[in-house]
Amino acid sequence: MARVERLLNLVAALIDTTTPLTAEQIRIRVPGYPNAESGQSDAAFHRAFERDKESLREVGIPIETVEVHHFEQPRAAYTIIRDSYELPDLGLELDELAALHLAATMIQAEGLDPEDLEEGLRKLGGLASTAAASAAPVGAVPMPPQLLTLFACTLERRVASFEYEGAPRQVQPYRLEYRRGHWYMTGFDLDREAQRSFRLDRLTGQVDSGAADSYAVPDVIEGVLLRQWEIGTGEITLARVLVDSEIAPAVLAEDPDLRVAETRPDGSLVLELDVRNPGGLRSFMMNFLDRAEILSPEEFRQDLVTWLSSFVSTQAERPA
Amino acid sequence: MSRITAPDRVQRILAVIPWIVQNPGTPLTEIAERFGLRKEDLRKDLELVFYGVGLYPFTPDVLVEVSFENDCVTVNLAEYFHRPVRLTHEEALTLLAGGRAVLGRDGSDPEGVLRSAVQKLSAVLGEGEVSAVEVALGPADPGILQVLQQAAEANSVLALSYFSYGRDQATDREVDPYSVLSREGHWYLLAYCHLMDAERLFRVDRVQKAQLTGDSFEPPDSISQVGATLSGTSRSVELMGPESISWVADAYPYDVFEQNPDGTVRLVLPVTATPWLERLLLRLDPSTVATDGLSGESLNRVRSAAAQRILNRYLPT
Repeated sequence: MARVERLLNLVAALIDTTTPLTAEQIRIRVPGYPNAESGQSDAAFHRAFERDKESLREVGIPIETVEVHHFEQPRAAYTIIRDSYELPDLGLELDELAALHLAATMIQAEGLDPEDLEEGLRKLGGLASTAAASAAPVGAVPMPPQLLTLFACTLERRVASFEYEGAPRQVQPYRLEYRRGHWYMTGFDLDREAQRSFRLDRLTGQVDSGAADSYAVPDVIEGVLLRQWEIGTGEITLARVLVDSEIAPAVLAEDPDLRVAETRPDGSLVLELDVRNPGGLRSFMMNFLDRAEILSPEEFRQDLVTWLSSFVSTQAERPA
Repeated sequence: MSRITAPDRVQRILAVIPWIVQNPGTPLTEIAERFGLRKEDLRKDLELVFYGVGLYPFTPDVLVEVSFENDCVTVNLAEYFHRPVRLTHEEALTLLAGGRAVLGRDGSDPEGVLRSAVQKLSAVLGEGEVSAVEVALGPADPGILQVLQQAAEANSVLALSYFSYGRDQATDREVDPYSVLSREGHWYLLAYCHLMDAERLFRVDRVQKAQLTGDSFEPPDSISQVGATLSGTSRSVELMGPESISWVADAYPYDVFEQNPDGTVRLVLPVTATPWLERLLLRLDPSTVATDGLSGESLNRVRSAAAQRILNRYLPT
């Protein structure tokens, strides 16, 4: 109980002060610290103060350390800057708060403490949704520690340094996307001087972040490419692919943005694909076995025939 | 008081006080309800602030003043606690990701209330024009997803037309829908399948049609989610091939993954159904040797037959 009061008084003192306070000044102004009058040592005070500072920083209270020079020797002093402490008023209406509450409850953020959600909502004005109280999460989304660091980098425009597939990378993160069960970060790769996407579970070690506001994010960015035939730097070749009616609904449900050039009377579809990577197209076609066909161009048809023939001839060489 | 650490309690008090300052005279019960707190805990928090918090030298003008009048609370002079603390990254991420995940589904926010809430949150976080976080829970036809969710809530039996990708065929069946959930970026329906006489997980993007039969079912006391699998698996395949086939271990669950000193790879993984196996084998380097995990029999014939079937489309005889 006493510690709660001491912590609150410490926060109040650090917000209220116009000049940063040294540890000794804090010991005088904030009641509840071990003091000399009751025979408690300086060391006990410093231990208690260090622990308080750390605890408050852990719950998100931005205590700044600065060096002051008005003593014989420079000393560390502490303050809380109002602008970094105070959450601006979002101006949320009660129904907006409730909608946000319900939405966040639908997600099970794996790796985060459920208290984070409640604490965040209290800061925004309360746990407004009664529906949310009884709602079960419908979607599980992993939130590993690296994601949090990259999230902070993205919001604060800090360069992120990490190891990816065995090589060090320095990236200006633009966006984080959770798709098909994986987190991806898209950003500008400073070493390769190009936009790249990274799958977070392939990052090894920790992510280091650089100084804030060190770059600008373009107005429009292309997200991560998951269509295997689009991944690559080659020229785009337009391919037309026929998809049989039996599988057409499943193909479109999986990727609703596919370009349909034609729907035939039997329900089959002709898709137009922008192919940069013919190997990726071949792999995509194998998903459908004999229920789809590359219509054009001829070179892609031929490529597929050559690939498939290699399996058939292997068989021929080894009589059963 | 429940077991709460001092820093957590400080965090809670700092979140609630600013709201009470701005909404003087609110009944204690209402505040407790709004912030998801027990009334006794809230009262203790406020008393603690009243008796113990202020500024050096703690003259009356710098103390926090809390008054309870007819159980209505007013807090004065807490100038330093006028605004809540900024959101931590954890808090911001969980709120923003949740909002974006729900907005990513068509028709999930008909009034646009959530959209404007997320916009306000985004502005305060300094997100800018490009959204920093996008969450896709999975591809699905919004109409079908809605039918499935409503049927699961109302315990209504469904007639499904389901395309089994593994078996490469569409079948009609009746199911008792238990719940709809998103895992690893795909929507699933957990249901009791009358055709298989067992609990099954169905990929929602492969449900081609879903209609209420008009019957209802009695939900079971417990649902064995663990027991439900995408389809019964008893077979396995052993693959030996060049390093280029290692992507398989990234894409599918496997039992064995070994890399030999010469770079070649050995993989053993479960097989859901023959068409699934065919699709896999035809994507691997032709030098890959595939054998049945149990019998050790070569699967070359399965592979070449599948290749021939596709070739027939391209090379009409």
